[in-house]
Amino acid sequence: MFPRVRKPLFLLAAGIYCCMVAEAYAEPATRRGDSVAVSDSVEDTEPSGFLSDDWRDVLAVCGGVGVIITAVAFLLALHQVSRATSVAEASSKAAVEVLNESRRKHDRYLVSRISRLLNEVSAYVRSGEWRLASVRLLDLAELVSQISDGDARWDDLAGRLGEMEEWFERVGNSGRPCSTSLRGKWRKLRTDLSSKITETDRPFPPAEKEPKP
Amino acid sequence: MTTTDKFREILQRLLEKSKAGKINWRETHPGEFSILFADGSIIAVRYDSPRSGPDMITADLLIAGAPVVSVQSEDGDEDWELLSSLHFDAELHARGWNSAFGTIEKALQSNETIGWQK
Repeated sequence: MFPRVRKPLFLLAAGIYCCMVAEAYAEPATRRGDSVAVSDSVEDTEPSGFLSDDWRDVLAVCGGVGVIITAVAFLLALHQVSRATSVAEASSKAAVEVLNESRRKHDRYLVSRISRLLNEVSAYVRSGEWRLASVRLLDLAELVSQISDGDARWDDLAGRLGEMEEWFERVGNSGRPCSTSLRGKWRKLRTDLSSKITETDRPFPPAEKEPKP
Repeated sequence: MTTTDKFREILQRLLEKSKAGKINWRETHPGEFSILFADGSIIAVRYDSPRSGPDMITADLLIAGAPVVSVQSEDGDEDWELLSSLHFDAELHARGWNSAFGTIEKALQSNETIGWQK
């Protein structure tokens, strides 16, 4: 977890530990410094028998420097983490934009195919070839249901095309002429689909009208 | 003669009686008009207009609430003329349009000035 922060945190902890060690050894020295004035005979003696005063000073200075370096490294790490986060956000945003653009292109491709198929179905209806019209209507309904621009009217149109396909198949199988009401509803469906195609196929969205002052 | 043919004949006679204004129709559902008989049986005539299909009229004979005979016709079928006339007439009577039309026709036949009072 947090690989970029782990190292600076470790360094910070190490620095603090060094400071504490240095401080622990420096304190007796300071106290002893006071006593130096009292007695020179004990100047170089080591109560602990471990380090001289000079080494303790060196250790204290190293500890302090370590803390400063660690703090700077820690800040640098934080800065890098924030930069990495913003880079990740930017790349994710770019990925979403690329996806949306691909979706728009795919929708445009589908719309052009839908337009062609609609013309084909209309031609079959005009010539009374109901079975062929029914097959093409099924393809049309499938294509329309694949449009993913989030407009619920596409789903509605896909449903209507599916229903119309069943009726066209029934007319084709019965061999009877198509009823007037079914023809009228087909014309309505064709008009609705055509206007939706025109609306989607526009190169630019319609400009919003400015409110009149 | 099948039950359906018998029912078709009854519907034809029902139309004649309805045109004579001797049937009290009631709109039981939007687009559905029915008649109740003494034994509790009902004849209901319903007009359906699906969004992507032909218009359809169905006449049902219901005994104890369950349909026992039914005649259905799509726009353009052989029974369409009979069922659409029956449905239209039922609608005229049940919604009171028949009396409104009668009043208007009487008003048009008279020589008096008609319309809003000045």
